[in-house]
This record gives sequence, C-alpha cells and structure tokens, in this order.
Amino acid sequence: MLIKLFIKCLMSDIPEYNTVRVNTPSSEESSTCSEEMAREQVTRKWEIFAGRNRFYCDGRLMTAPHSGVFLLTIFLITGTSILFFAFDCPYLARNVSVLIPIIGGVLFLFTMSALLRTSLTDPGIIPRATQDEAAYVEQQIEVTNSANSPTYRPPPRTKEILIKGQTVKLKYCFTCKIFRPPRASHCSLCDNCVDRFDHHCPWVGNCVGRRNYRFFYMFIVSLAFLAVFIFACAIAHLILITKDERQFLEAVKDSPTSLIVGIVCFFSVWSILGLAGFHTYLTTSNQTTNEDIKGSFTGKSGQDSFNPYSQGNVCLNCFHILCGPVTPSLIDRRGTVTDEYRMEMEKKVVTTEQISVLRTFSAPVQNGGVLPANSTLPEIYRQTVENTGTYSPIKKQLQRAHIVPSKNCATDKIIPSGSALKPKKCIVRGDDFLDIERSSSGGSPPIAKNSPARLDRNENAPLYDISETYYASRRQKLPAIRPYTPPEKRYSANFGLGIPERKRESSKRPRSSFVYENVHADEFCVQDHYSNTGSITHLVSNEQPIAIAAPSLPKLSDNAQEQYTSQPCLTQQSPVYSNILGSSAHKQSSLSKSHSYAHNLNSDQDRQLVHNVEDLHLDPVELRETHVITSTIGGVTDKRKLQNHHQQQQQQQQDNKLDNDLTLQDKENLLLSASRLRLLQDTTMIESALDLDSLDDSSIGANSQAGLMKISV
Amino acid sequence: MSNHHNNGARAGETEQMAPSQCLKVFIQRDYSEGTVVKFQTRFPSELDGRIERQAFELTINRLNEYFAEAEKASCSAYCEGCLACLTAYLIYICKETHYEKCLRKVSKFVAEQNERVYQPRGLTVTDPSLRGLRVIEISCLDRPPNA
Repeated sequence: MLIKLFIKCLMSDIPEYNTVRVNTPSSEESSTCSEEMAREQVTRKWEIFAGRNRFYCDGRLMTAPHSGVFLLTIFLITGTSILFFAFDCPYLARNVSVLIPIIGGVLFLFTMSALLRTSLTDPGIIPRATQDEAAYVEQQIEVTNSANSPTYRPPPRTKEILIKGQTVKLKYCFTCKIFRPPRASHCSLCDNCVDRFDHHCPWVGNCVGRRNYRFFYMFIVSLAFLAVFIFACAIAHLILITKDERQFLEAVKDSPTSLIVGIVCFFSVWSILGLAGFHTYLTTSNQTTNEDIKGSFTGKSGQDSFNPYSQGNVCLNCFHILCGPVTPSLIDRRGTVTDEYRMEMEKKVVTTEQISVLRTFSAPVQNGGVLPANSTLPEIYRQTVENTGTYSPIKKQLQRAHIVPSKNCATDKIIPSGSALKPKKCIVRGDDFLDIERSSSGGSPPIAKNSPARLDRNENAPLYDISETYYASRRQKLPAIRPYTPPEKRYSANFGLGIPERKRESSKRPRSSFVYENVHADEFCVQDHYSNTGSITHLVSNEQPIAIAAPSLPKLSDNAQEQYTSQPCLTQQSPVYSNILGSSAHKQSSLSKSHSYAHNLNSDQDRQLVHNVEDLHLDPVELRETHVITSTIGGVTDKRKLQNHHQQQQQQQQDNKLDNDLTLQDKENLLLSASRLRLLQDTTMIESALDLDSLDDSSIGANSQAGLMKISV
Repeated sequence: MSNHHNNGARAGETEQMAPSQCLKVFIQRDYSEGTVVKFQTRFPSELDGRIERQAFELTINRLNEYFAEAEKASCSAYCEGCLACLTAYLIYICKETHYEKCLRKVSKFVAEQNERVYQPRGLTVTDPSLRGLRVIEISCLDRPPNA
C-alpha cells in the first residue's frame, strides 16, 4: 500500500504531490500525505451508494427517491392534528378531561416518531456484491453449464435451497450481483435488494423491510389509534355543543374545524384500520406482504407448503418481529470511502489474460522506472471495462443527453474513482480540466513533442479540448454512480437530445484545422466504440437467440482482418494521430495487441468474439503508463478499435472516418444504435420470458442484459 | 506492547500490499435453519494445503456462534425491543443494540484470528459485516485468481 501510495502521489500531475519521491520512502511522509488527503476530501460511502436512495444529514438519514407522497402524509397527519389540538382540545379539556390533550399528544408524538423512523432509516438494504464476489458467484453458476456443450446456454439464475425442509428458490439479482437471500427482494424504485422485503410504501417514502418493519407496523397501529381518537373527540365536541339546547347546524357553525377534522378522519380511518388489521395478520403469521401476495406459503398443486420462517406460534411471531433483535444497517453509509473499497466495488471482473497483461505493465512502475506523468488511467481502465461490459449503449446516451439525474446531491456529483489521493486531479470540473489539459499537453514528453500539429491543437482548440474532455470524463464517471435507468427512458433520451447536440457540435467544427478534426472524430469514435462493443457483447452473450444476431456473428470475424490491415494507412494519413498516440514503444505494444486481436478473430468464431471484447478492454490499460490525459488521448488510441467497429456496422470505406461527413455517419450510427437498443429490449423480454418465475420481478427484466454480458466476458 | 504494535503494523501492511487481484474464496450463507446468519462450514477446496481444516472450521463455527448469540430470541433482547418501542424508538439514538455489540465482537474476533492464524499462512479473512453478512471472504494474498 505504501508503494501504491507513493506511486499515486508521484504520478499525479498536481505539483505539490510531486515533492513526494519514490527514493525517499519514509513511512512518516507517506502517512502524512495520506492524512492530508483524507482531510481534504472525505468521500463517504453514501455518496457513491449504488442505489437510488437519497441521503440527508451527511448520510445519517435516507429515503427513497420520490418523497412527494411522504410529504403529503406528513401534511395530512400534522394538519389534522394541529386543527384538533387548536380547536377541539381546549373545549374538551375544559368540559371533559385534561387527559384528552395529553393522550392525543402522546399518540401524535409516537406516530410521528414511528413515521420518521420508518422513512428515514435503512430498510435493510443488502449491499451489492463486490466485483470479486460477483465473479466468484458467476463462476459457480457456470459450472452447471456443461463445459463443452455446442450451444451455450445462459446459466440458470435460480438456486434452490432447503429451509427447514421447505424448498425455497433463490433468485439471482443482476443488479446487485448476488443470489438474493430468502425473503429478500429487489425494489425497483430504490434499486436495491432489501432484506425481508415487505413492500415499497410511497406513503412513508421508503421501502419497508426487515429493519424498519416494526417501525412501520407501530406507525400504522398508532396512526389507527390516533385517527380513531381524533375522530371520536371531534364528534364528541360537536355533540357536546348540541347538548346545550342547540341545533346541530349551529354547533357546526360554532366549531367548523371539528367537522373538517371529523371528515378527514372518517375517510382515512377505514383504510388505516384495514391496513393495521392486515399487517397484524401478517405479523402473527410471520409473513411479508410480498410473500402474502405471491402466495409463497399457500400449498401449490397439492404440495404441503408451510412458512419455514414462522417461530411456531402467534405470540412468538409477534414478539420476534416487533421486539426481536434487528440487524444493524449493513451499508455503512457514513463510512469513509477508501481506495480499496472503491477498487472492490468498481473493479472489473478480470480474467487470467487480462491480469497477466496488467502485471507486465505495472511491473516497471513499481520498480520506479519510467513514470510518465499520469495517474488517472487506472480508473479509465476500470471504467472503460465497465462501459463495454455492462451498460455501454446506454451510458453514452445518458451522457449525451445530460439527463443523468444527480443523486444525493444537488450538483453534479462526480466522484473521483481513481483514488482519494488526488483530489484535484480527479474531480471533473471545468476549471480543473483546463489546468490539467494545459499542463498535460505542455508537460508530457512522449506526446508529439516535435509535431507542428500539436501547436495547432493547443492554440486553435483548447476550448474544444476542454469540453470534450469534460464530456468524456463525465461519460466515464457518472454512469458508474447512476447505473440503472429504465430502458425506455434511455431510449427516448437518446432520441430527444442526441441528434441535435451532435449536429451542433459538428457544425461548430472549423474545417481548416486538420488536427482538430481528428480529435473531434475521436470523440465520436469513442462513443461509437462503446455502443458497438456493447452490442457485440450482447450478441455473443445471447448466442443467437434472435434472427438478427446470427448473421452478424460471422460477419464480424470476416471483417476483422481487413480492418486491421487498413489501420497502418490510417496512421500515416493522420500524423497527429500517431503523435498523440505516444511513445513508439507503447505504440508497438498496442499495435501488437490489436494484431493478436485480429488474429484471434480469424482463427475461430464465437470464442474469439469474446476475446475481442477482452482485448478491447486491454488497450486502455496500456495507455495507463504512457499518457496523461484521460479521454482525449485515450480516445485517440481507441480509434483503431473504433474503426473496426465502424466498419462492421457500416461497411463503408475506412478513410472517411476523418473526413467531414461525420455527421452523416453519426446519424447512421445513431439509427443503428437505436435498432440495437430495440434489439436489446426485445432480447430482454425474451430473456425474462424464459425465466417465468421472475416475470413479476422488475429487476430482472431490465437488467438481465447486464448479467448475461458479464458472464460472457 | 510494542511487539503487538509492530504486529499490527505488519498485518496492516500485508493486507494493504495485497494485490487487489488475488484468489478469493467466499464462504456462503447456510440458510438451512432459516434466515439467521449462519455460514457454511464446508471446507473450500481452494484452501486445501493452505490451512488446516480444524482451524478453518473453528473460525467459522465461532463466527456462527457469535451470530447465533446476536440473533437469539433471548429475554433481554425482547426487553430491549419493548423498551425501544415504549420510548417511540428514541432510545436507539443513544444506545447501542445488542446486535451491534455482537457485530463488534465478530470484528474483533476476525481481526484476532487474522493475526494469529490466517496471516501467517498468507490468508486474510474479511469481516462479514463488510460484505453485508452475505459471505465470508478469504483472500489468498499470494495467489493470483484462477490459480
């Protein structure tokens, strides 16, 4: 860790950290270094929490995303109670008993306390699996697939276990990458798996699960009491007034609020009483609403089915649920995010091949050899892999359209995922990027030192560089935080906003600057790369379940060779490209990399496509050691692969890539990606239809894609 | 004291220097007795030759005992729950629950086992509460994944 820390300090571009040197490795220095960082920037775990919950008070409180109805609940309860206390209570206290306002006050406080506890605490969210764990679990799943069967079948996504002799099916959650524990379910609104999931209650603005069911139950019960009590008191008030030889209408005129309070309570009390009764029944039989609705424990087709979770008798069940021990929150919202935590959560599932490559590249760095000024690329590696692996087609569009909802914070929360050690470098803001971009283009030796074009680029298009980097980095970072959006939304977002934005950008592009165009092209290429790779993975993972998938598989491998061969000429055509690409040594390695990629593709069909995807992942890793700026240069290097994909998709002449009719291509690409999205949706439906049991499960439909992709990679 | 301190430092270092990619073994939950936290005691084949079966089973069994104690439907636990309910759950703001105390014991136990048993053998056990009580993660620090 110390070494890692040093390297990070050293590699970062920020001057003050450059003072920490590898050849003075004293532990004091490094620890002060890390302490400083920790003070400067404490990222708590709630800030990078994967679900959709909102957090308040620095993570102490949490609710579900849409709290409108919750506010209505609070308003109704407090409003009615205030009317009652203000107008009915004084009269009743004078004429009946002082106990009435006291009882009312206690009930009200209890209700509100229970309500706030229900809605502001963790309902029992099960934290998502780390990447290692997900890989392990998937490995276990795949064992059940016969190793050399000709047709690859998607692995079963359920696991059957015995609980006290009762068979219970555990479903795999593609979002959380876990087999959901028994009784847990995925809440599609909060995007979390919740232990002992009861239901998502919009009225309390939170899921109701293992940790807050007792609060919820006490809220319901006390609210029922409160409503009945207030209703009774309001009616009593009116009747007492009529007792003094007056008409009912006069009494109402005398105390109109009593009537209002009475009416509100009258209408709400029935539903509350019903709910309280229902939950009492559930509590006594130790079931959840979810299980009751599904009828999990009612005997199906003559089977003897019982509730294995029941404690045996009604009293024990009640005690156990309402007073029994409860697990503390497992998501550790207020814990600080360490590097390792980030690594665990974001690291790609890596296969052997990738690891060996990683090793060879990290070796020279650790020995203190050439240390080019860079440190962000590890995160690029991770992120890119994630992009290609899981949500790729969507992420792009999310970014383009700027509809990424900012969670947990009002502003765009871009969490540096590289490490907490380089705060300025990683936080993507306009100003910072200006600095970084300038310092990088000025200060990094391997990049095109002698290129005349480089000056061009610096002078003509600094602004563009920045915005591009900005976009690109947003593209890379935000989706990691905000992983799930319903497909329809992504789709429409792409169509609503994607096209105009692209048009605008391309029209802005000055046509005189050759270099500039290159850079520009790269940006699009990067995106297309993402989306294309996504679709390839998609096709592979589904193993020709659809008509469209089948023909495109051979096509891909056929094209691979000629794509590769056309690359050198491209490099010659664009001097900037080769310059930006970096030192010759790394160019060599990356070229050989793509060579092997093409080679692989030619030798076989299906397996190699998987390899293909892996290789695509690997190229950014090579970048890590060489280059400074994340996206611009990363994009340039990505170009080779991107072009491959362009060709697969469009079958046009290769060199047009850098020409001016990019907009046309982009449009076509956009259409293609649209059809791909449609394909994705179709597949998703098919996928979920295969698993009949999970049809009711909202998480599976939308995310099965992701799971399958990961398995195939 | 100083010795202990050194040990701790060394332990921390080994843990941190561990490559983030190393072979990891995950001990899954055992649901046969319901949803109480209990981990499988089946010895994973990946750990063959790395650690004695008895030592491993001892660790897991002790962990299971701790969790059983945490979730036991004892009288004191019920009293705690009732008291919390009577105070409108405001007591949770200032008082640590029985379960939290048990989890702390688990963390302590895991750290101690790591230091005494696992780290000399190049293994590290991760506190299950860091993994949402879903798995016990045992990392083999000197072995690459897929080895």
